[in-house]
Amino acid sequence: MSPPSDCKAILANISAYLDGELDRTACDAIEQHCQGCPPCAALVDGLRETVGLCRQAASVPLPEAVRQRARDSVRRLLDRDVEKG
Amino acid sequence: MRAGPDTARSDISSDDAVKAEYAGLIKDAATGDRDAMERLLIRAQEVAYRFSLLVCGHPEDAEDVMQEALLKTYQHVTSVSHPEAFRTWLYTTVRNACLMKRRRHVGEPKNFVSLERGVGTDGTIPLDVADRARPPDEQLIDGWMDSRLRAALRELPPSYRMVVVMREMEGLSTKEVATITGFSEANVKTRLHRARLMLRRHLEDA
Repeated sequence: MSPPSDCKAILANISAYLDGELDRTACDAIEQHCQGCPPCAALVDGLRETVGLCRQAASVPLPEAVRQRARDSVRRLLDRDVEKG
Repeated sequence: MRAGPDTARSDISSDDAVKAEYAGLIKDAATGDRDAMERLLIRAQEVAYRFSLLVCGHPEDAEDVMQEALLKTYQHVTSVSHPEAFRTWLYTTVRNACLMKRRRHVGEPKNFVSLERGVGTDGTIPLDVADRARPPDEQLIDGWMDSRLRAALRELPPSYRMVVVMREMEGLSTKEVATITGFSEANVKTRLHRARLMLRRHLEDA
């Protein structure tokens, strides 16, 4: 297992790694470290899963009732302005 | 562990596509295209709804914040000189509307009791008169979003919640979030990282 100081460096860079902001060398270092360090590997997987959960939730459209309310408000506003001329 | 950072969002391409879409809608709406105006205003209200709910955590405010976003966007559309900055403007407007809404609530009682309701047989008004049924919007939201995730988001400090929602769920870039919040880009990244760690912990505890 890698020494804890390596783990600290991994922890500090996980988000940059997940966001694709690290160069290939830095990515390789993290991946190599995680192969020999189950806690860091679990952390990376856990954060990846968390990010995935957020993005998945964001892709679900709002409830139809809310969208309908939004459409109705918009049409009322635009119709009112048409009537005003 | 899977190899490679497959969560990496192609920030530049998706960001450009969204900006281009907004720019197209603004241009068409400003020249009188009603359909484009409708789509833009509906989108502004959807942003307002999600922000009220996920960042501010007050579904009861959502209606007012949506209305504010609707009117301000409608007034703003014809004077937009930098369509690429529209999204930042919209989120800043919605954020301010949420904050103002909360400030107005300070000092208000938590529950209002109608004088016509809740009077006991002895003429006194019982304290526990709140309608304990979940508000309709809460029920809608339960069906919309994973309740574990919503609960975990609620546990985050507000500024961390705002950053994680705008970055992960609304798809804004680090730079846009920095502009909206007033944090430096480095600070946005730090808060996002900490927010992810906190979210993970809360999700594991749930």
